[in-house]
Amino acid sequence: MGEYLLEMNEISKSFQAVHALDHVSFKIKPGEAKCLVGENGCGKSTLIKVISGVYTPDSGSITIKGKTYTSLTPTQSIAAGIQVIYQDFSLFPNLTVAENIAMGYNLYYKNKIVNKKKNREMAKKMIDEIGVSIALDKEVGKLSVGEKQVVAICRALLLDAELIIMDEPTTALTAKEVGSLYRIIDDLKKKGIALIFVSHKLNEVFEVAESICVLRDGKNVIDGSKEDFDETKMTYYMTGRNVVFTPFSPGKIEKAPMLRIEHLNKENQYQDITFNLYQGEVLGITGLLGSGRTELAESIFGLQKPDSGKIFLEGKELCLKGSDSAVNAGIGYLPEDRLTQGLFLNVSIRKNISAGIIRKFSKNFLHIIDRKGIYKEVANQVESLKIKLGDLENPVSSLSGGNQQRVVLAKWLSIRPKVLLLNCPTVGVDVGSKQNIHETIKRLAKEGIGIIVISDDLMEVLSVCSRVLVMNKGKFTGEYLANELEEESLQRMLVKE
Amino acid sequence: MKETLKKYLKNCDKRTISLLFITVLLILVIGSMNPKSFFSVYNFKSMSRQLAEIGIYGLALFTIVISGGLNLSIVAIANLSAICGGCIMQGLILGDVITDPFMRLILGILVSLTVGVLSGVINGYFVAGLGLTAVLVTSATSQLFQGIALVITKGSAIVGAPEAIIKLGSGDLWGNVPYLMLLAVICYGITHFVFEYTSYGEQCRLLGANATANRYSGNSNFRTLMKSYMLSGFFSAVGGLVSYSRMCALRSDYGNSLTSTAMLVILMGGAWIVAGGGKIINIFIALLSIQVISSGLTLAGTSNFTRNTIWGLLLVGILLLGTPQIKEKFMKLRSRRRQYKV
Amino acid sequence: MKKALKINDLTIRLALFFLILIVFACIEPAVLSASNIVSMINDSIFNGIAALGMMVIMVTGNFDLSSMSIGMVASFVTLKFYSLIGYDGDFFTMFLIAGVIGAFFAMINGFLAQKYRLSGFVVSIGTNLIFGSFFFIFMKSSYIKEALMPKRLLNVRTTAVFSIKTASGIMANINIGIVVLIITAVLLWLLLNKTQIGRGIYAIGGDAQAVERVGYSSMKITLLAYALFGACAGIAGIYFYSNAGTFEPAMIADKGADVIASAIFGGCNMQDGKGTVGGILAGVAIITIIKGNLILLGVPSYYITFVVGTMILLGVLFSTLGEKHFRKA
Repeated sequence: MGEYLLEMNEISKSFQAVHALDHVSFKIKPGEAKCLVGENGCGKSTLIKVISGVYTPDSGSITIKGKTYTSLTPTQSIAAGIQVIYQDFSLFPNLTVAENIAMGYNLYYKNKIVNKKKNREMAKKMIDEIGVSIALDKEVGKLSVGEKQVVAICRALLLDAELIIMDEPTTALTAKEVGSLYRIIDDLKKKGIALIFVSHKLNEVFEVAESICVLRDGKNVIDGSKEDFDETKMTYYMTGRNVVFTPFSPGKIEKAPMLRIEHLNKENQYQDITFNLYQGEVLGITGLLGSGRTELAESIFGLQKPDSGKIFLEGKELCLKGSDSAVNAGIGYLPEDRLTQGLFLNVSIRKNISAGIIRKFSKNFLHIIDRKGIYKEVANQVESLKIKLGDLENPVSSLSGGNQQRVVLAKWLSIRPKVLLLNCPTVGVDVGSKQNIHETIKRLAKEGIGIIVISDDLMEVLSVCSRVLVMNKGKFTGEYLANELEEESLQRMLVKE
Repeated sequence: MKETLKKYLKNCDKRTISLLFITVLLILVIGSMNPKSFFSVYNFKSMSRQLAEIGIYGLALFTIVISGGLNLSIVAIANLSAICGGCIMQGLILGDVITDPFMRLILGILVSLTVGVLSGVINGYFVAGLGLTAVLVTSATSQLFQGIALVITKGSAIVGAPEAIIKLGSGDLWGNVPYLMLLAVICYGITHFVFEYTSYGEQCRLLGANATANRYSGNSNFRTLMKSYMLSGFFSAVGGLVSYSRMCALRSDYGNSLTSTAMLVILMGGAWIVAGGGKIINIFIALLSIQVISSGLTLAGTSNFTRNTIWGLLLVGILLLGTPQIKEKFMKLRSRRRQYKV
Repeated sequence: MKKALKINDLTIRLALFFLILIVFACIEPAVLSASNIVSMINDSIFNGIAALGMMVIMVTGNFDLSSMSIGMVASFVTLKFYSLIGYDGDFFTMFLIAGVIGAFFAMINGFLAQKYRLSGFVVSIGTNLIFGSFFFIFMKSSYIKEALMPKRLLNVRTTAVFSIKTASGIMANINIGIVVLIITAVLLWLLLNKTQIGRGIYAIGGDAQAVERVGYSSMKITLLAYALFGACAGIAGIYFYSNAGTFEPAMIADKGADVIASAIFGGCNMQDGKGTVGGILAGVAIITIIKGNLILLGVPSYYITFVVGTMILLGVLFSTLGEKHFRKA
């Protein structure tokens, strides 16, 4: 059988003109916990899909327990003991926990008749092994994200998985659930199950991994045991550059706050939120998922109505009913999910940028759009943000992540905002664009726009913001000046009550 | 002159050119089967009147399809609004209060259009306001509006129309251009203007392309959708008046096949495949094509069954042509031919 | 926990059913007469069978407009076939054949939708037209006179499975169609709840992307769902025409709205992949007692469409808003 459970040799995979994987090799021993690390777009997901048989590689071979294949079907992959837990878990929200857990097993063994009792027994066994308590007859759609993940893991274990691959498993987990997950991973390691943990979050990688494989732009960069790495080296391997983030020191800060939030409350999301935002500073709000930071931002943007509390902009109280009223008042919001919330993928770049100013440029009797005015504005934005594009009429899907994010930013800058809320502004963006966007944020702050950056990327928070508010389970748990913090200390604050 | 024509053709998108090509081809083929009947003034007038009716229903559908939904109640709204208006025009309602035929006519038209818009508001409330699925809501309101119309007419048809309406349906301007054709062209012109040049039109297209992103861009989806449904109801009412002018009678269940014909026009015109896309000019040319086919079928004396089957095959065919798999097969065929040419 | 679940779905519907029945009975006691109850049961047969088929499609997240035309064409082909071979066999076989033909037609819809990733609903708009007219192009006439209908089939109208003597001395007969409905409901329930592929129908309604990942074949599930839908449509169709006594294509067209109303009132939720056999039967019961008793209550016949339309709207309202409310809780 040889030393390795799974060996991928010189795997290449292209989609039309894009080389997703270029002669990538990857090995894992039985019982080993290895992290597959890289920035967004480096090829991690593609490699996983080749391992699980969803994609067929253009060239290269896969050897599992000594047997070599040039391509795998999903059934072969499962038969070989490989199970993937995708980011969306692939569970069925309208079916019960027991049924979801037993489903992989039943389908693999081609069971035609449903045996509810057996399903429950199998499910119970798995859940007890993991040591979590979840009602077997509950609909999966009603579970929390952490519970869903446990269900997905149970389903994988039921098929005697020898290798479990987890794709960015902590993206949607609360702090407590992350802790449970680490414990589960320890148990899996003790059972001798090999683990591939795909992530770009360095603190988690160091927590879980015995060995690490770094990919960049579809190619291998380095593969070694945990001891050989530290954070600076990792960042260098992942990004290919020595990145130095320069912290932000604000210029003159006005006395009167640009934005004042008083006792904002929304049941189950956030409680008693009070803070000020001053012109000239960049305020950071950070916290783990479930801390309420996105809901708070969306409430300030008018998308979700708070239960109680007041919002003042330049001293005047705002009554926000929908995002259009927020934009009228001068508040802009760069959303977390660029692809579904921020952009109209099939629509031209020009129309994406002008999406926010349509009403502004059609204030006449028949609401006719002032095309010339919009064209001029769009051109200005493209130039000032240095967006690299071919033709403004091309669909925005033709741009890279970094340029796409700049398009969304351009959309908001064209409304001449007084306050700009940026939620995870550089997720899925290459390093060069990341720096560029950070510089732009600092410049805008200096020009007098009140900026709030919401992010769970602590490096980003510390290099862009001048002041940081930490949020945990809907409440603010601390306020700090950025230059008084380090990443490690900030990391600890995130879980403080 | 040649240069401006070349420039214009370059700017036209592929669909417009292929649609024009298909239309001309159809006219030639179908015309050649029966040249005396087809290429007559009578036939052109008749075609343009039918085309106007389908076309306006098509517009009622277009405003909703552009924003990513579907309106199954256009015909029901048309019938209901025409019945309301018609009752006033014929003096069946408020006949003692308003006796002057001209007043009856004007009030009748106004009431008709208002009922159309109000029906649109009802649709809009449920779809835009409460967020229910457009297909289910308009399926339900289709029954609802038809039901109201049934209650008003007590199940029977209302026969007769005021002279002006009859003239609208069968008369011509300057003896040659049917009034209905003019009406259709005006409506298409207005729609083209609204969806190419106005703020609402652009927001509507963005809503169709990605409703979430539109909301996150600071535009009110509720207001845009509500306007769409009101506009749809308005055009449905206009369509109802057109049908009234052609039938000179009002029924609560008229025009069941008009919905699917309108859908075919919209689909062929390219408004459905990519939500948010679709140019009015394409819809109009598609309308011409469909009308030519329809007239051809009538002239050939085919039964309703043949027509329905062809409509169905066209619908499914156009849908399939738009899918990536079929497009790939075409591309492969094309490249193979090119290989042989070399 | 189990009790709470039950209160949410089926129990509410049954409660609503009895409430309406009681209210109607107070207004007009004849509602509860033996002959009326029997006639309501008989009225529910067509809706019940067709709505069960509708449910299967809606659970998978699709909507289909061709239910009535599938029923119509399946009946036509069956009747023509029988008159061609001059066979006058038992009607259960006829029902079965109509079901198979209906399944075949519906699977065309499903195949196109699944293979080319089209919306089943949009495809059904086209196929509705094709199914409803294709065969008649080649036929001399699209009508089948009573004299030419298979005798055994016409007997369905008069075959009773249970008879009650009414107050006036006439026998009220519960039609044998109820047996067909019960068999269909039971078979469907077994398939959807006790077979793994049947669970796949719910699964694809819950998360269409995940079905392939977990090991199902999307195409197999889709074809099965559409086959069940078509079979129910075919059986309901031939039952309808056996009751009608003659065949004319357009007769069945208006019944589609009632079927959709029954399915929606039965708790079918397209977005979440929810729907149960019990719920559908309850939904059918509600639509039947409302529609069937309006005339008895003195409501003029031309109000009925309005009532049905309002009911569908209310059904959609409660079904969607109800889900949202329960999800929050």
